[in-house]
Amino acid sequence: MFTKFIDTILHRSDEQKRIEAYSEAIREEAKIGGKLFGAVPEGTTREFFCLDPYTWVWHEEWTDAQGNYQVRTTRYDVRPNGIYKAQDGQPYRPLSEKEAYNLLQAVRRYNPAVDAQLDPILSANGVK
Amino acid sequence: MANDTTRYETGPEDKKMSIAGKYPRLRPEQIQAVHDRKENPVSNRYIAADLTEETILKFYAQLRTMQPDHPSDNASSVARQVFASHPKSAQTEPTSIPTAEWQTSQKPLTEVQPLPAETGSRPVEHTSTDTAAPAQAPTGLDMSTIRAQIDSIHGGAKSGQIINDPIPDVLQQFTVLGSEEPEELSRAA
Repeated sequence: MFTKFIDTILHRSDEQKRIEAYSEAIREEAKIGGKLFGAVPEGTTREFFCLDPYTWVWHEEWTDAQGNYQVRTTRYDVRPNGIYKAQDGQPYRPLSEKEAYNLLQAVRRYNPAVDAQLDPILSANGVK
Repeated sequence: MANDTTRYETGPEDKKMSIAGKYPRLRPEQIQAVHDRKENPVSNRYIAADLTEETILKFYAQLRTMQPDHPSDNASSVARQVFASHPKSAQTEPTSIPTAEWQTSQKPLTEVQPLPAETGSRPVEHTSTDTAAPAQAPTGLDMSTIRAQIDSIHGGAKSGQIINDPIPDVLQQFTVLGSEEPEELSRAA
């Protein structure tokens, strides 16, 4: 079993490694993005990240008053005809003006926050 | 903070070692991925952030001033004008929204209410969970799960159906963020 595991790791293609690394990079961004909104309550996991040039994702996991584990994923799409959001498998809805401004604030803060965390790591790894 | 100062007073070489010890050594593909997210001219996150206040302001202002007796006006054409500079405008427009639907959407959406200061930035729906023990420890973001959820969200929109029913505004939390002092600043004070 251990040999099989090692074999799997050793024989991953460069493309697989690249895809995994890209996911890892987004995961790190998501953690940083989740902190943009203030302190995250204990027992809550909050992620906010840029999925691609047109898509922002909010993901939150928490436990409700009944002790049930809850997950909510909200996707924000910037389209040529406006900004939309979809939540947990429901159809897209246009964003209200107020929420659009809230999204704008989040988007503005995202890159500086991510750069502040990740640039030193890149520097420590020899990337200028 | 004082400890940090002391640590760096011993000289540049110590500082260098401190950084090397503090930050993880990345694999080449990880370095490339982080670098691409910032620098890749096609897909970097700075392109995604190309969403300006003027764009939003103009878009919603024009929607508000649209007259129902001008059938030639519609939200899509307005949006095409004001979002023209956004990179996504180069893509095929997936859905056009009739004016009537957008006007319906101007109804106030039911949103998460602003939070009392003592509850931090958590949405109202979550406030009752403050004292609840987690039934299952959050496992953090799992990209395969996220992507599956995103695919399911995408699937929900494939019909082109756009509904104006309210759904909670999770970003409502920004209304209280401005009054919060960053943790670091609070500690420093």
